[in-house]
Amino acid sequence: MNDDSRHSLHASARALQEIELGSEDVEVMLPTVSKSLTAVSKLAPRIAFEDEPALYAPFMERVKG
Amino acid sequence: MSGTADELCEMDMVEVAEAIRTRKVSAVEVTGACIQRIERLQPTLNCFISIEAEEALKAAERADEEVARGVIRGPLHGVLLAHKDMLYRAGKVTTCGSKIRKDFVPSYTATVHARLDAAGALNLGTLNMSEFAFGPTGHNGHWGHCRNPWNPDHITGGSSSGSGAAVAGRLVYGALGSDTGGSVRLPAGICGLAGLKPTQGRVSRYGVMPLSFSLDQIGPLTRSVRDCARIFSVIAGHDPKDPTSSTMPVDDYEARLSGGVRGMRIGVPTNFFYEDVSDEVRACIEESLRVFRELGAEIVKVQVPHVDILDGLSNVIMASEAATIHGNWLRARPDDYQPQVRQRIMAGLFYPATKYLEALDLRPKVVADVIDAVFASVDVLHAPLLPCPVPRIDETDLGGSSEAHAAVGSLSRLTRPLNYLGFPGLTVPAGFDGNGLPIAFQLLGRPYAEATLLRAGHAYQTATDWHRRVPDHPE
Repeated sequence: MNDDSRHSLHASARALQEIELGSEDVEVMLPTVSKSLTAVSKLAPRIAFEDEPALYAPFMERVKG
Repeated sequence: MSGTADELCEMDMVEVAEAIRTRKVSAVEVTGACIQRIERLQPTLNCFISIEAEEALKAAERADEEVARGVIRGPLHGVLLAHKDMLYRAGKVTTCGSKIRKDFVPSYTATVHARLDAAGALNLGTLNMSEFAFGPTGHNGHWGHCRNPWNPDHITGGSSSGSGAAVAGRLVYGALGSDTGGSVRLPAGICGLAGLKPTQGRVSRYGVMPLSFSLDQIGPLTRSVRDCARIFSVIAGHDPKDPTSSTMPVDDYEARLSGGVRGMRIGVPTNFFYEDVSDEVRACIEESLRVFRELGAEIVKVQVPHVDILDGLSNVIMASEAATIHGNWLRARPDDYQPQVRQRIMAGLFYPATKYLEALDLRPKVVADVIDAVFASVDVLHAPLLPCPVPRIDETDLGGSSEAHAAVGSLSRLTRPLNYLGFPGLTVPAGFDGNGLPIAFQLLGRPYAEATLLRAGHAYQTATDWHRRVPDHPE
């Protein structure tokens, strides 16, 4: 991530969340955030138009052991 | 029966419940023995945040009076327990392992507490934990680190650190913890105990401090799988006060322990779970599979889909929900968090809402893929719990550094995937490493297959005695 992006993150954090965000905090968090977003994006194309979070619990009951 | 105090403390939960019920021993005698042991070991283990010895002894007296009158409240009558300091009890301070909540007094009681009370259990106090349940090691800069009874220089695992240490140290007969990424299973395995993370929604979360409402589950840490089944039978089941709790019928888990594993198909993953596992851990885990084979189980190799990215999917959900839950404190009191905890929560501020919802939307699809690829051909999946020998407290005390976050990821790498799926998982002790610390395997099952996991774990414990080993006094 470049300096502009880091600056943008800091500005967003301040503006939206009123939370102090140290540069050390950003450096520590970024690898996990980046990896986690990549994980979601990898499977996101499989999401159907009608999908929603509420479908999970009934589905778990259908596939029970 | 008139055992020494140590002998009383070293019975397991089912044994002591039976001994109290049949008046071979009194609840007062047993509670007194535990309290004496706590006085000796608490300074070393630091597993309690609060101890209510007088209240526990009074409750033990009432329990004995009831037994004398032929009144047995339930399967845990007179049995001394304690729980992770995040289960609310009306009028009692619940610190959540934090500075921010050090004086928090809830006005209502967790359903799990109420169910254990109704079953006759006694409560000795509150147990140490990682701050706000964030942390797989058991470090806590506010309340002091919890220490492993097998070797106090080593971690207990977390975040239910005190639950692991207190039960393994034979200070109480069982404890509840919470599991969002491994926080019941890790301390159970690292302390040589059985530990169960139930199916998502199987146990009420009413009155429990939230970390991530989509991933949190409450589960027991006990000295044996049989004990686990008993306490789980008490706490499982729908709760009208928790609308997310499942209405699926609850099994009689203890009655279903028998039956063995002959013909059971036990899956061994060919991907992910054995990567970077130490030789020592691998040898122990493979030996446990040999035991299962001897018991008549069939070992089947399986490939688990998506498992390498489940950690990432889980992180998006966990951090987004945690950042929302902690939003006001992050704004007003950021310095009252330990740096590593604050950083892990704040990461949630940077996940777009669309990505959070995508991670949730994907859950049924990922569940379906894992069911088709794995549980269509096996009954349970067997895997290592921790890829390495139990580390030392000093070598994992890394503050808010990148190394600390890497260590967190490494320790919970093999447990976190299960929380995204929402499947049940059982930790079972399987031996010891060269430092004398426990090694464990985990059994993973389909949704609502806790009875199958417990039956398999119990069968293993009828053929082994790892769960009967007791740590030497770590004084």
